[in-house]
Amino acid sequence: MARYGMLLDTGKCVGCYACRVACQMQNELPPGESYIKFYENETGVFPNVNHEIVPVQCQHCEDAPCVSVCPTTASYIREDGIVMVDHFKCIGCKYCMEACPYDAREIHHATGTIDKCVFCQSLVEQGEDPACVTTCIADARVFGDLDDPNSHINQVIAEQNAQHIAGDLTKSNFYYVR
Amino acid sequence: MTKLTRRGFLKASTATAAVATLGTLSYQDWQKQAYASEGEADAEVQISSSTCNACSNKCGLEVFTKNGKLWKIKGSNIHPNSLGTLCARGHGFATNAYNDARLTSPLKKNEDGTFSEISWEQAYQEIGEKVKKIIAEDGPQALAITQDPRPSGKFYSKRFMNAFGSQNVYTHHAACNLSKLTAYAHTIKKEPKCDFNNADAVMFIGRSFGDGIKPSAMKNLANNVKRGLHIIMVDPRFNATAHMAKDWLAIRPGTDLALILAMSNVLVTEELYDKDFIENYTTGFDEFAEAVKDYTPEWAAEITTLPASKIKEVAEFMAEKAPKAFIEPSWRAAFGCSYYNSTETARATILFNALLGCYGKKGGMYYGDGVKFGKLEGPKFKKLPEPVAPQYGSDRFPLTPTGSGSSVVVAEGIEKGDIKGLFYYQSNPVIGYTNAEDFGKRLDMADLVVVIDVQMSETAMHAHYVLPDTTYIERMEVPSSTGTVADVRLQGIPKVHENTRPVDQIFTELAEACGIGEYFTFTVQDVIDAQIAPFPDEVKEKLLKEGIAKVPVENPKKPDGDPHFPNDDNKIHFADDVWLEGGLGRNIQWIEPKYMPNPDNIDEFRLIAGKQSIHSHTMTTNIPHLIQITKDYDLDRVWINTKRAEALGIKEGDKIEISSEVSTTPAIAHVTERLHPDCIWTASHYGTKSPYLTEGAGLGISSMDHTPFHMEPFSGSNMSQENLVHVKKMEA
Repeated sequence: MARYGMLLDTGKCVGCYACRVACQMQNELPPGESYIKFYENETGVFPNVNHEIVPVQCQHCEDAPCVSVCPTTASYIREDGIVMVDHFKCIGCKYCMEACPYDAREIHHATGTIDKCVFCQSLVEQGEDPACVTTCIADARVFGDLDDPNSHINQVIAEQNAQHIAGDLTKSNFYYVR
Repeated sequence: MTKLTRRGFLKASTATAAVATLGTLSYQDWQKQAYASEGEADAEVQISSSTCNACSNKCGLEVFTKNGKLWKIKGSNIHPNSLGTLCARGHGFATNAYNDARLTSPLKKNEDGTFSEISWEQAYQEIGEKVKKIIAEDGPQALAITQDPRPSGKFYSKRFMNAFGSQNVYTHHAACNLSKLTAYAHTIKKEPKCDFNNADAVMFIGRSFGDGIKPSAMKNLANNVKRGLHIIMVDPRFNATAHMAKDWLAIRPGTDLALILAMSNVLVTEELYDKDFIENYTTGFDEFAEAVKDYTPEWAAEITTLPASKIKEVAEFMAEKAPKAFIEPSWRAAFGCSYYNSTETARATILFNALLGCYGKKGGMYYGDGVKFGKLEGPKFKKLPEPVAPQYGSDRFPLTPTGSGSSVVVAEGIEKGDIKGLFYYQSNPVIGYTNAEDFGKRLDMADLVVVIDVQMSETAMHAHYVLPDTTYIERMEVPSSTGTVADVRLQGIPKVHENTRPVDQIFTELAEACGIGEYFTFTVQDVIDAQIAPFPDEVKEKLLKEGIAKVPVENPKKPDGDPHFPNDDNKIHFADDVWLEGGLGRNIQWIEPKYMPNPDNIDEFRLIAGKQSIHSHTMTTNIPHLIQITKDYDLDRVWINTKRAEALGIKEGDKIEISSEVSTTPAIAHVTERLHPDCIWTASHYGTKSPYLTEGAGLGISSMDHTPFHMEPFSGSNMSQENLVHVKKMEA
């Protein structure tokens, strides 16, 4: 069984928001609802400056606080590592939104249930990459099987010394090169 | 009893909504319905091909529809500009078909300035009568058209005007890259391609692939930086691509010419130029060497605010990496149309690249043949009449390529009474090309202004007639090409509004009404068939089915050592009398910008502007999915350097007032270390003035509000960054 993960290289990311809109189209979200949030770091003093955009979405944690706090077991982890929300079980209590250290969850505009990035599982099941990966104009995102030692994502993690954004906090399956 | 599941409830509620909704659904309303059908076995997903229209790159698209409505789009893997990816603008712009602000009927302006819906027949008849009257009184040279180059728009606009005998066909380039185009036209004729994959050092001047996007170029650059490509970013602003650069040269805006002259000086005085290349492929080098001898790094340091040592270091580094090094040709950026010295700056970059000897070399710049389309011949395509007069403005700007022309000088022509009737196709000069108020006033003096668009733009507000186009994704268009790939925009979704008409139909019918119908006895399909006629059958078939196909090209040149300049003698002319005709010198020289803020005035700045990745010109600010990003991340704020802001008591998010000789506008400040202290910066998309475009209302400023109506005397470009503004904090 695969264990899916994603990597994002902020050295390549230009903060163009293509991933946000591609994700919204794929998941049919209204303009104000986004599964990806963007954080900005400006450092230094003119003219010695640096700047980084850090897109953050569900980190698909193995030790997922959203899953452990969910009173109805609506939030769950699939065998392939993708963290999901069962909309039929979700009562919209928002405990998971509070528990998620990455602020990665949104309230669905029509149902009031909780939504978030699910690594475009319907595309992944067809052998495609998630929409944010496919559309990325800077090749900043890599998606793949973390259990396969030969996968491209594992190669990039090793070569670029990719790290989790919050260390071992939640045993996430999302890696950043920064 | 039927169990009411959540999905069942959703379906029931959207069915009620559908009944309650009159007319066509907005994208969001439609989306609510579409969500309800997600996962249902009967949601029929269809995939077709098209090309994007969110910018001029025309990326190939796969269009996914669900039950006949747009669901999503994906970048084509085979189109050279998308390479499987797509930017935010592309995704968002596709939804424009369902935008609430779509024009759905021809409109006529009333005496009181309001607009009334009229029939197509009435619109054509009245426009036709007015055009005939203008021609009878002032000749066809009193007519002009401006279009933002897109496949069908470009073809039909030009043929429409030429059929009258007028050559007054203009592009938006006066507000984009006209200075650069002018410089290339008289040095090496046209712009070469860049071999990023083999280059070792590239200097960008003002251009940022992460802000003004061509997806494949960004992807290529990001991967080449990982490979070790050294980027030098020259920009007053630490732009969205600057973090990939090894050097950020935070130059004082308007002084890029001084930097390049000084870099040239370093290469000449230290004899670091490519002597073989100079010998074999250039003329006038000795004059050039003499001309740059006083432009030392120390001289340029004063002007640019860059350290002399850095200028010298960068020049030497480029020379060391030559010929696998070049100054990227840029687009709008710093010398497309920005300053009084932009044409001379573009000319300087072309000559500096000659010193590096990079033309025709691996890792440098090179030429290659593109797709050659078939001619429009035969009984369907009547031969166009001889023009009655040269393009308006071409006597004043003799160096400017007439394929673009200065669309700004046209406005002056209205005031002088030379131009009486104007057509605008998918272009918005009132807010985008020069000072909005000034351009608008001039348009109001014309006898006839016709705007063809999908939304009520600021220019449409000044029109006598507004004709509603379909959006790009609802129609088929004439072919275009990128390198050796041809594309035909195919219809991706059914027409949304019954009374809109595609651009080809509008021009064909307009031509008939204006008495030139004999030149338009063909369909868009006829144009496609004629243009792709020379291609092999399998290519034709692929094009008509998939919209994109690689075309066999005779000479797809690669860097082989010979530059293959497209000019007559295969040489770059360092000095040339041709420039005298346009008011420049035979030799390159330093030219001051028109304005320079006085450093002693703590409230005085230059206002500069640039692209933002999520918007295209001023045409995307009414697209909900794109403008929401602006709102979520305050992207409409006006940037000001931290120290300058402190001196004026301005903090992040403060309300400020920006005033200039032409206007006063409020704005919100973004205080940052990422900007040169001499300027303030805004994205160039905001400051919407059309009351019909409500999504972006009240957001940001238009830089053109503070830029006077003026033209660079050498090319006719709009000098978009020649201004002086004063900034103060507004009381809360």
